[in-house]
Amino acid sequence: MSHESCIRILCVDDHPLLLDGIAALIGTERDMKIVAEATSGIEAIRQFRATLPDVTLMDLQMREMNGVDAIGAIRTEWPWAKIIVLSMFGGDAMAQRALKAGAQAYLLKGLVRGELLDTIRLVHGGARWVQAEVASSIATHVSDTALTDREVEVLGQIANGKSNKQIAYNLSINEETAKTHVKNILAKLHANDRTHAVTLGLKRGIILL
Amino acid sequence: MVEYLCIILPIGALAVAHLLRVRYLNQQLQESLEQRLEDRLKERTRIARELHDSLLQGFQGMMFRLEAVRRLLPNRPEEAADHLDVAIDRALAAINEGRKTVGELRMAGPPGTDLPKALADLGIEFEPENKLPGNAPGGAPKFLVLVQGRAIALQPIVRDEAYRIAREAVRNSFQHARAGLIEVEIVFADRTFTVRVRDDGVGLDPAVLEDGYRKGHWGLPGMRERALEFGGELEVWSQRNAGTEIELRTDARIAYVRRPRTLRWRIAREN
Repeated sequence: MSHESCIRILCVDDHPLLLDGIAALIGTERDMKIVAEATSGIEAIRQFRATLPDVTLMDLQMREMNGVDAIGAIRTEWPWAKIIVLSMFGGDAMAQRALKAGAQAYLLKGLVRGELLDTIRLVHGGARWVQAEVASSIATHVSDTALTDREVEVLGQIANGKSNKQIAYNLSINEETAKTHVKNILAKLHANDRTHAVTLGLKRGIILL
Repeated sequence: MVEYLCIILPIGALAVAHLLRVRYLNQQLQESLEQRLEDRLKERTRIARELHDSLLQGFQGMMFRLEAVRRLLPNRPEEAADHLDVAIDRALAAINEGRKTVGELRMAGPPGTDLPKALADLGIEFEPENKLPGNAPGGAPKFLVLVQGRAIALQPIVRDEAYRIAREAVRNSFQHARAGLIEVEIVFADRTFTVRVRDDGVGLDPAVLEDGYRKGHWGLPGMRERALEFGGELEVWSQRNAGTEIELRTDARIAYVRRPRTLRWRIAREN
């Protein structure tokens, strides 16, 4: 295989052992190679600019700019960029956000057996791909009212054990407003209480760990 | 008439006071219940996150490598064997990381453990590591914990997070700084609660200080992120061959368990 037709890949994940495993797998193939790695969204943009890869593998949950924001930034600057999300989480909200930001494919790390290399080739060829599990979770919730950005922020605070009072302080709103947000979150998610809301939020990828 | 008033007024006042007191106690109880629930939620999220960072991601990475082995068999068995060797090493690394995480979960001590005492115990915890040959040529550094101001009860979250951040800093000082003295200073002030960890060691690599990041270590960004999450602020100062100081500041309103207001004060305020 000539150097010209080799698929050049940028791999973005904040866990060294995961980068290492993906590099090993891609290393077995002769028609693709990793040209750069990054461990945060910020670094991903920098590496993208430096290497202009054919395909980018992107984790979502990272410190210093998450994957969704990085996808948005990369696609704004390089609209031709081909990006495959490789995420630990299958929630509909996260998948929708990533696809809207411009990702061509969404794969779950836990369900990726044998699929990663094929998906890289498909996306490189111009196709889009969403795993069945992800597609069905998007379909299930397609008619739900989405949480507003502020409500997502509040839910994240609840997950970190913040009381209404602390949430109000952290977001510079008054306590009554914080309470109203919490009430709306519970209603929209059909949650019984705060713990339940956090569990649902994590499951659906509305918030990340 | 005036006599009646003399009797009725004090009784009325007492009844009102009693009702306010009952309401106040109920509210206190409610608040402490809510606090406990919130702490539990926070703890669950944290454990999930740590398991995700150590075990899950480690095994996921190894799974990719095993898939590589599968693809190399049977045509390229030697390459496959090399990958298998690495996979075994990676599995061990993941287990060790997981074990460390579990250890740290235990390490935070039961809720309510006195922070100065818990931090003082770090000297005992890290000293043996430090005595490993090659770690510190000048022998074990002196380790001191200083407390300024009268101890004020801390919110459990703040106590636990301050402990974890300080522990990470003390560990760094013991393991990397080649310090002669490591000091932890805990300051209970009216407006802020502060914990400082400083050493007189070699200082941080300027690149690490700038990026707040060293490949494979989450030390500084992890600490900063933790601080931000509960509403604290982290500052790092470091100079080559002069030492490193890490300061964690938390607003008093976040750090301290609010002292129960006195009844008199509440009545005065509500009227």
